[in-house]
Amino acid sequence: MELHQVIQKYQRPMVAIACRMLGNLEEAKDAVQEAFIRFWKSDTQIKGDPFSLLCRILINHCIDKLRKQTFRRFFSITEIKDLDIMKSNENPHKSLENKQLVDHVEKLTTRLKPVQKAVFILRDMQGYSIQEISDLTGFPENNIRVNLHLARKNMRKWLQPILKED
Amino acid sequence: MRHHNIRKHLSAYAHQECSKDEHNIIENHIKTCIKCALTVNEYQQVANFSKQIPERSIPSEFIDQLKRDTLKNIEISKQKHYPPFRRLAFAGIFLLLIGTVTLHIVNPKTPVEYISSSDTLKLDEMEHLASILCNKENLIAIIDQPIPIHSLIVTLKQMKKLNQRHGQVNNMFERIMHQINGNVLQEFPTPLSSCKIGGKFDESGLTQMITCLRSYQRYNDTITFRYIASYYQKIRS
Repeated sequence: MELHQVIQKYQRPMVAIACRMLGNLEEAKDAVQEAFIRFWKSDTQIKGDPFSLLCRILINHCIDKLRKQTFRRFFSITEIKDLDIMKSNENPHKSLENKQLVDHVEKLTTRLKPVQKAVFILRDMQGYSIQEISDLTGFPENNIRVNLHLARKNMRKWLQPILKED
Repeated sequence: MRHHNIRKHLSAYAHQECSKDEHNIIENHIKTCIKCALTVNEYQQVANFSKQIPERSIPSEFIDQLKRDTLKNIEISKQKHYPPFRRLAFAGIFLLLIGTVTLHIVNPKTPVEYISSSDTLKLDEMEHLASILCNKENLIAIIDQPIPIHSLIVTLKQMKKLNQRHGQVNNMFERIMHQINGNVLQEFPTPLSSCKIGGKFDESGLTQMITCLRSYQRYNDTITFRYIASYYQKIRS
């Protein structure tokens, strides 16, 4: 498969993953471009579908990028404030529309650690199986299960003020 | 499984990722444990919210732009991407350069092999040195070779010590200098006018020579036999 065909075929799902990981279309675009360049430079002979390798490069790049983001903590603080506002309401679940709640859940994923975020997005948001995630990321399945459990546990903990009211 | 262990598997149970046995155990447990039942319910709610998060709409212009930019960036990378043999050639040249510089630093060019800079100069070595220097052909070959003044001073000091022990070396040195002046410097112009001489001249030729060389060391690190002979001529005249 020619390079431009590979780009044509996989750029959309890759942008979707990168966008969820980084939360920003422009950053996602840079990450996907970087992934394609690294893929082209790797000179590896791809026998089957190059999507796993492309995804692996992309996800590792996104994880590195998230690790470097020092302003992540700032976001965490703003989200905590949001939750405090929700806690102060008598019935926050009723006062917030379902769409807003979903937005809050999406925002809360920024507080997860990069690897936890990657597996949470791929499993619970994108719907990949654990074996597929293992192929896409290169992490062992047990590692994925542990990180997934921690991510879900954290999400439940952070959303508990809203969930209990349900 | 106990309650504590079961709690670790609740998230997997809520997402239906457990094995059949685990599923049955947890199902039986949550029938009796309200806390775990609530937790499972919470996990399921989180899962529902997570599934509802919509994918961000990606405009088709954005995708086209991305493809164009990616191909453009790859083209730029291709121009910068050197084939392996060019990289090897660069690496070879670089290593050669490093090696040459290191060799030059570690093992600087030996100035004149006739001058010994060892700590102990013996009389027979001195005689050998004198016989080399008294040979006209040898002298012509080395007359303009730079000699580090520091090592020359060390050699002259050793010669001075040898002279104190055996009493022949000073004469030998003077004979060499006369030989140079008589044989070689007659044929080549001497740089006497540019010689700067310092020190006292009431001592032996060797001591005067060391004093002169020390004063000359302020201006230069090396000296040639032509200069040395000129010095000597000036000192003795």
